Amino acid sequence: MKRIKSIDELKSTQEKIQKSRDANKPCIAICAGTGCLAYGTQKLIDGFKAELEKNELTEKVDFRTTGCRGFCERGPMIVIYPENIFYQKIGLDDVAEIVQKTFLNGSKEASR
Amino acid sequence: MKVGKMVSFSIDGKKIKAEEGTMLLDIARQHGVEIPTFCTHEAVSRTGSCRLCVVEVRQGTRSKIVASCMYPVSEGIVVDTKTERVLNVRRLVLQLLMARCPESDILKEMANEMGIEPEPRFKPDTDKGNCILCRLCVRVCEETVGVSAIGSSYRGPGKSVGPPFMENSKACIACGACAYVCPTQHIVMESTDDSKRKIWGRTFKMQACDKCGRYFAPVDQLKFISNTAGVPLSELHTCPSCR
Amino acid sequence: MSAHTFKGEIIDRLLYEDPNTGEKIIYEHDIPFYKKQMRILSGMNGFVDPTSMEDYLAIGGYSALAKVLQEMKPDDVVQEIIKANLRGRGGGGYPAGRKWEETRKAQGEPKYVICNADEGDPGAFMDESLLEGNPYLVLEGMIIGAYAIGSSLGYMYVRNEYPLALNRVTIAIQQLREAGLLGKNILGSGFDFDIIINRGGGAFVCGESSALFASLEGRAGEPRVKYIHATDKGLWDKPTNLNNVETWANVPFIINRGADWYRSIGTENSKGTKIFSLVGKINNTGLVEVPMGITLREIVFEIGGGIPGGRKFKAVQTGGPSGGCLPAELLDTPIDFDELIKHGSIMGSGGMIVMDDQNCMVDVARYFTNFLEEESCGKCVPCREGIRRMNEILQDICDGKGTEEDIKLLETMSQGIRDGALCGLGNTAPNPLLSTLRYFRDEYIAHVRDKKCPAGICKALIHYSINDKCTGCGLCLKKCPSASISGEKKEMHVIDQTTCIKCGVCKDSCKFDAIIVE
Repeated sequence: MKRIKSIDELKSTQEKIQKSRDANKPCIAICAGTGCLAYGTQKLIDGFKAELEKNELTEKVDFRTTGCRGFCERGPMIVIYPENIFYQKIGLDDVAEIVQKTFLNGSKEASR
Repeated sequence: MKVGKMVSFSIDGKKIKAEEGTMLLDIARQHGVEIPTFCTHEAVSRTGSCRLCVVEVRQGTRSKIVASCMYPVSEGIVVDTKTERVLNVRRLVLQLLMARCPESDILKEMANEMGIEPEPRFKPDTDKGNCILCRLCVRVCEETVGVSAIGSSYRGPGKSVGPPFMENSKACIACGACAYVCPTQHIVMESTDDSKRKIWGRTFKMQACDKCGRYFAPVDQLKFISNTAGVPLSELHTCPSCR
Repeated sequence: MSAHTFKGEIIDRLLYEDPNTGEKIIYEHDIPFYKKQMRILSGMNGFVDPTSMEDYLAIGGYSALAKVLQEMKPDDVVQEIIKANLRGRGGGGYPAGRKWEETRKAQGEPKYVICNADEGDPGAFMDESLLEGNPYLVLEGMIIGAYAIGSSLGYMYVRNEYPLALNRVTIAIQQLREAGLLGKNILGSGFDFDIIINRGGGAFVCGESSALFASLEGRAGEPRVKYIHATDKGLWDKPTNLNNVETWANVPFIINRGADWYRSIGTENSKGTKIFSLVGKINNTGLVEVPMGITLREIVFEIGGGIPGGRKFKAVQTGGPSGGCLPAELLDTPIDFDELIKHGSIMGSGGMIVMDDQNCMVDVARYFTNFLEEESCGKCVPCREGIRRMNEILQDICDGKGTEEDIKLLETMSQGIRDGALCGLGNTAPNPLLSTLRYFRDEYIAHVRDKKCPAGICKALIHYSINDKCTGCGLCLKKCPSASISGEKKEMHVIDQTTCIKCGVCKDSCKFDAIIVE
């Protein structure tokens, strides 16, 4: 990041970043704390990235690796924003289905 | 802390005035109050590690146990050198040290004087010699002599003192300062014959006086003095009595 | 955040299922584990990639720093932290604002601020997750603190066993320097501050502040007497303010939302939230952030989901090796610095180990005492020699060689070690023993008088045998690693006591409850 020279510039940088982001844009946030990494999350991270790319979703869906979400018992885990959907104890075999059913099922309404 | 300001306080009921910041142990001794110590020596810095010199200090409603050798006096403190808590600590320290160094007569004598019996439940060690890890030797070698030939290694109960890796130290000059300050005579400096001295596993040649012929100092020590003081070695070959 | 905006399909099998109701829960905020938490510090983690400063700025990061530099004088900042009554989160609970004020007023330059990230309590990983998840938050707190105190150089002392945290903090500091939030003339304010990272050398004792200073100075990590406070003479004998990771992380929130807001959370003398690592015999292991004042019962049963296998709660250990175990009768104790001390434990840095009826409290005391023996720096006699002797006696008790006199001796020694030790490690070392003796004395008596371990843990005091529920399936025979089980098919099997190593594999594999330990 370029040098921010003043407090006003900091505020405008914050605004600029906030404006450039859409709070409603779909996002997969995967927990990459030490606990979840020990569960093999790195493979999931690579898997999600590959799956999103395969389905040409990298522009439409954000993918974020985050720090510990706290529920270490249930890792690996992801949260799908903006809805806050929580998927736990995920495996590599689930990655394709998650991407498919979350982002590629058209206008199918959720049952709950 | 302003040096020079006088403060009033008490030790064992005795009212005392002293310069703020002076160490409690020194004031106590000046006023004839006996406090035992192991790890203090006038030649070196203090660490407050043996815990034998603990006293109880009250200030207002709070009281705490502190090592008097490193506790600076301040206005209004009430010091007790023989409360139950204090005596309990001293007893424990001596019992622990006696278990660590069961052969040490010095420890046994001190405990006897203080009315302390060894604790039979502590299994006596067999591998610690008489070393109580006060580290006066380490400090005298570093601060007074200036060669740092010995130091401590490891952490916790396995801590031990000696040259690095317990190998012969090239830095040691066999001055014997460590053996001199050791409170339990753990450090042994031997003279196998007058011309040699052995310490920390290494044998040193002694220098004979060029006037009387008596062996009076290790050669390495004289070399060290020559280097640090800038005095030619030849001038150091006369023993102190013959100068 | 509702279903009708979601156009996809929910995958049921990946959802969390509430074990009490069987209900599948879709949204994170509905999950019982999260419901009673107050994830002020840790909640940001979901929105921040810990290597992306932009993410942190996007959620308003560094607004607190901007506010401080633009609107507040250093003394104002100190007063705000004092008003908030932020108490240190590293274990001691000393008022952070007061420490800042003392350092600010002290004579001597330069002044140092230090972040203690040496988190060494077994089972604790709160600081780890803050540094790995949002290093920007912790750094913002440090910069604000440095401004308030008048320091231009800070150190972050991170234990070497946290490579991911080290990596993320290193990246974050580099990014902050590039962005001008660290270094000279921060945001054009004229304030200079930079941070150096120092890796620990693998010693628990270096979490003690004066040992940490020694370590930073390149010496062996041994504490020194603290009759002169570190705020006057700390690192290199200069005024030094040391705070824990979580303490620093609280600072931006207090600045942004105000001390009054902060005081609205928690109890009279313990404000704000605390992060705990909830581990041990608990269904929902993990990191929880709760408001002070929440009870242990709520944490263990409502957030933690209770004890696995339907077993009975026995004790919860807080405060790590300096802390104590609290029994079931004290489950309604609120999380509060002073309340925990009153009952013989401490808040500590946040380790919370839950125990059930299969934990032996004598063994727990022995475990922590053994840990402390290994981690003692070795400088002072009461700790170096005293803890080692306590450990020997406790080991004897666990081996069935203890006596009732041993318990009396341990209590006497505890008083001497508490009073005589040079630093906090030694002073608090007897706590695990004393708290388990206070609430579970009957277990100690069973060990020394009856030579029995009621929880079935101490190997020398238990033996495994097979009862008549045995169907002769042979599973335990197959699994036994010392070939100590014999028996014909469909007939009751038998364990050879002379070769049994009491590993417990047979008991874990038996489907008929036929293996008994007594």
